[in-house]
Amino acid sequence: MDDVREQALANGLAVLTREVHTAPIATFFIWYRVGARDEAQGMSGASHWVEHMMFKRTQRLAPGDIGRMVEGVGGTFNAFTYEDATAYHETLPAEHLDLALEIESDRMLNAVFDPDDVEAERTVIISEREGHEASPMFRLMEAVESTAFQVHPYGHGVIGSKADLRSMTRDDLFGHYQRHYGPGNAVIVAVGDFDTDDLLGRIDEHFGGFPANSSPPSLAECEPAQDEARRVEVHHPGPFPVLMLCHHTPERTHADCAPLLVLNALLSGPPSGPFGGGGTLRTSRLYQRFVASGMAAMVGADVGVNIDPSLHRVVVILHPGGEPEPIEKAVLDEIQRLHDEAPSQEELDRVVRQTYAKRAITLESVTAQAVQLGMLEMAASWRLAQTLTDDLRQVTPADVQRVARTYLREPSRVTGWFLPAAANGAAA
Amino acid sequence: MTAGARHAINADSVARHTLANGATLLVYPNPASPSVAIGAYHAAGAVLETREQAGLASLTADALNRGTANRTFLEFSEELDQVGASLAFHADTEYAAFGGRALAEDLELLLTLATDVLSHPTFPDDEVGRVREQTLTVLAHAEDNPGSRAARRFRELLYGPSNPNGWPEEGYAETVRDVQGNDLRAFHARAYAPASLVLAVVGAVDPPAVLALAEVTIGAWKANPDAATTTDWREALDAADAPPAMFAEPRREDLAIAGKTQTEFLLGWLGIRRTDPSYYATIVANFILGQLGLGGRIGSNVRDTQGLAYHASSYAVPGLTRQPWSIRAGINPANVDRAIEASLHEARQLAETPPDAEELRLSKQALTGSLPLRLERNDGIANMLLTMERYGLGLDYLGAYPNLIDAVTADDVRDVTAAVMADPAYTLVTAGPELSTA
Repeated sequence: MDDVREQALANGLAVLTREVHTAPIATFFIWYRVGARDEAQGMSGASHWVEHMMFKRTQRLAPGDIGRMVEGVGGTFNAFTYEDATAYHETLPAEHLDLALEIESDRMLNAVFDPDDVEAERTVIISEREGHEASPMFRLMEAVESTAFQVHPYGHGVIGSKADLRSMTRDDLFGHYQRHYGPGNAVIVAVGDFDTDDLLGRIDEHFGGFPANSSPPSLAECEPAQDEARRVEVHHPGPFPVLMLCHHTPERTHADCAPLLVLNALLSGPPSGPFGGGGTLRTSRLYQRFVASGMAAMVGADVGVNIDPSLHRVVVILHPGGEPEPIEKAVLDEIQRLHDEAPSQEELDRVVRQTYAKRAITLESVTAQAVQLGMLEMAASWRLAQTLTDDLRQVTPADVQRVARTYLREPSRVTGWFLPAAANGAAA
Repeated sequence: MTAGARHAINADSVARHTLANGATLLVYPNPASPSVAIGAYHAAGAVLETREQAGLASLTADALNRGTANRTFLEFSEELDQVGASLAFHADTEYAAFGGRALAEDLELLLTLATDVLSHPTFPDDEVGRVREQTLTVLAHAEDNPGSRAARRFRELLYGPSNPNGWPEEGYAETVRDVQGNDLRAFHARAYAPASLVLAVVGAVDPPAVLALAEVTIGAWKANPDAATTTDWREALDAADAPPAMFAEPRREDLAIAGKTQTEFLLGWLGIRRTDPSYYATIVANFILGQLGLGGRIGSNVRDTQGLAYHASSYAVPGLTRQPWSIRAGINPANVDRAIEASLHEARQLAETPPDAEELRLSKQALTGSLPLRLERNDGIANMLLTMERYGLGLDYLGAYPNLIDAVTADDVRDVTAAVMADPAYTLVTAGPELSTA
């Protein structure tokens, strides 16, 4: 990632490019700094709903046109919304990359939000939410997030509450779009088989004429420090108990993020993407404690590194009928171990080696590279993609012990349980 | 254009060898990244198990790396984790398979571990017990999840109770609960043999060096003299390909799962084999019906026009035996019947009227133009090489593929759709909250 170029158009649109000529393809992402953290009370889910509307009508395009344009040349396209941002992307045979510029420059300002399209999409999004509700993990995550964040919008989830999804109006959504979409609040990330100077010229042709705008002020209120452990239980029909044990962690720009990523790598595995959480290694502490021993079916951990302070999570899926108490106690034992013993330098060297290899393998595709650059730029800076392995190498055993004691403490803890219940709410 | 990699993938650039023990090796050098991907399959799928043993092939593959004559499961994991590599084993109805990724310098480790695991697994009882518990947990989840529950029941109804295509790869709680190490050892001894193994290696590697390495690793795996032969497997496969009982009327089952808010449905018919000459017309037809854009005509009707669903699309599953061609969607329970009607309407429409020229052109271009994207990564190329070998497509298949797709006509699309979907006796399963109108 040493050869990333950073530019900005006169109207403020930031552009990151990286030429990769190993295959005749290229990917084009546009990231908007708008997500769940930018949603006021009563507007939960607005950013994600706006994302859906961007595939409907613009002044030029009708619903379905984007799919036909991109797939008609063999490309793929999609979009996603999360707490901090919304991203749209097309991956294309390189000679067709201009299609992405046409589509994204058009919908940056020209989406129509036809009232009939908004109504049809309301039921589609409620259906998406109801699909998620089939998952115990989704129900537990909603409960844990709303318990952990009582003021900050990270507490209301990306998809939004059903009540808000039923009541938001076309004008609410269109206003959200107008406030947050524009060159001053966006970052283009392109990776692949193109000539950078040539591409920058074409980006300027497509986007350079748009008037400058600036990012709207953040609505996200600072979450007051949590000074007492919190618990939440979800009792609902389901196949097995699930534990989600969380602690508050700092924002991604904080210097303690690197030692927290190392700590998380010891618990579960090295980060493969921009966030901690690249799958659980079988030699990791949590896998050995829970899965190798047969105590539980699955275990994982990740650090949510966001613009604002987030959570470190340990998730354990029990076998059907598994006893919750011993599992929770064992997770707390593992956390206590991080407080009591600094890891060996050898363990830390191994994390660095694993991280290097994981990244070399997972960043093979141009799309994965663009996701990494964009997500880091949204949360902090794309330059972290260049320094991640070195940042982890600087971490000392004492740093890991210190961040364990600083962040993984009882008053900052949120413990959530999904507990299977019979349909009437009683214990199953 | 025939490849995503800079150089064409064809008979000139792919090295194909038969190893001393009969295994087939395919190597494609791709210096674009410092990594390597391996992929392999061999004739040890669920077709070799009985209904009473359902899940045995899958459990055997899952437990294969849980201990060998040379290393414990922990030692196996440490060797991989040490260098950030991965190596995983799996079995489906037709084949057992494995795949791995590593830095190119660690290819020897991947092949050494794969060989040890294939040839000397010990299936220790404590580890088998853990794999069994994990499988039971996966099965409990599949019972609770509307999408998996509908998909499993759909296959049972479509193929009937005595066809391995009809039972889930992971088996059933009652067939898995009592499986012991001895059962897995017996299945391994009978089903695992090198003669049917096909191994693909793709990445920053030198083909002659890979061949030399493969001969002393995978090539050194000796067959158990009592093992089933590839012919036995082929017979089992043919038995699984026997036509299931025919039905004159559509069949529908509604499965209620407590605590759910959305209904998933699966609606379909028995389709064709991957080796059928009409396969290319079928994938074009399926793309038009349920893929193009967000779910093709079905997505456009059910999702965009009526706003009934978040996902609605169709799938034509490839296989050596005849596999389903089906439509699936997730729907609010109040709208299930409307969505089913709309899906059937779109299927019948395509079975009666050929698609217009523009829709056909777009779908064909999407299928051929997307090849470079599918071949961007080493594992994508390895999977493609395995597909070419599995279905006898030849190493020049990627050069021929655009012509095979281009040759499909609008009438072909109508005809292949009619041949499957004009049959009124479809199979339909819904799963979710109790349906008041069902």
